[in-house]
Amino acid sequence: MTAKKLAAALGIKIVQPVGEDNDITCGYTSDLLSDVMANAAEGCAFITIQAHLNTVAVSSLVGAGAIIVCNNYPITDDMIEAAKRENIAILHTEKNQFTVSHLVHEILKG
Amino acid sequence: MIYKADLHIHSCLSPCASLDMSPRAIVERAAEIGLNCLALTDHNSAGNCATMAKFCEREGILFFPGLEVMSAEEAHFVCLFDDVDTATAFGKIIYDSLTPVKNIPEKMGDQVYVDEDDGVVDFEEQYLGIASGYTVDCLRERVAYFGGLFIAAHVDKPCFSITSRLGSLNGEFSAVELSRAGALRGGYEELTKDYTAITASDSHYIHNIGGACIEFESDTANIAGFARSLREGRIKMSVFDDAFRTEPGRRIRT
Repeated sequence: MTAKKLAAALGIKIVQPVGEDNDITCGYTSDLLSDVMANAAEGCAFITIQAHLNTVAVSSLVGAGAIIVCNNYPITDDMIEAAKRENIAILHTEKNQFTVSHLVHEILKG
Repeated sequence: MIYKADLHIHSCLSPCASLDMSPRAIVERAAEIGLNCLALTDHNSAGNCATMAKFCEREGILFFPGLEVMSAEEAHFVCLFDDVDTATAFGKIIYDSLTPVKNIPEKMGDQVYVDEDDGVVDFEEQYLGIASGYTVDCLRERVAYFGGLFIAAHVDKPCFSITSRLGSLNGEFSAVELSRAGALRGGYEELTKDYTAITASDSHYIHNIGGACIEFESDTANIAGFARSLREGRIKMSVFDDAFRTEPGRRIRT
């Protein structure tokens, strides 16, 4: 499923659309970037409240297709710019990581 | 003796630092701008400290071998030691606890061990810019055991600082470090009121060296003398602008 379709199914907005056609095959939820680097799978939607430049760097490294920033954490401008360059869509929601993880799991297995 | 010190510098062993940052180049630049005290603080490794120590000795620069350790909570701490052997031993327990991730040089950057002739001795394969297995409290204990200084790094920064990861400055630190930008911006008196604040350049490029530094007085050319200055709060911070820092041949003003 594309990041765009996933955002629509979740009912949340895409704040950085470059990369919205990336195929999302799974999810990974963490706020520790070291953990993401070590354990996240390629093609995942990375569900987190870490909304800064390093989030994009780590996402790029593991081949994440999208970043879902939860709890409406403010997203920095340099994060948006980096995500454009790295072709990784950013989704933004007021929902927390638990809820989003549950929903992404349901939608992807659907 | 008055020491002008930049105590947070990365060499080419740190994946994020420029390959130009060989110990030789760092020490040459530091001597050129009038620094007489340096620390080498690569991410989670003291692997280039032995080489750096030799150059510092030749230039008459007081050297504190160290590491910038990432705690399990992903907060950064500058850990400084008196001698290379101690820093190396401490570095080994940190290295052994790192989250195992292989470095991909084209994506993360090269991690290079160099010798005195700037020759490449080896490449580090474990990615160093990653969390160690030690929580802040464990790390503090281990650093104390090795007789080192435990400094909370760039506490003004929104990521990789203890303040951003744990919400506040809690517990004892030898000092708390403000980034160059934070020291320039000011306004951190309340945050750091229970601690001695220092600043350092966190250099990743040659022209960054000395961009933020401190001055302290010590009768002894070792870490104990610096520790005494920290305890007594006798530290003067200096921050310089980019134009000054890149102007060749000028000495640092304090």
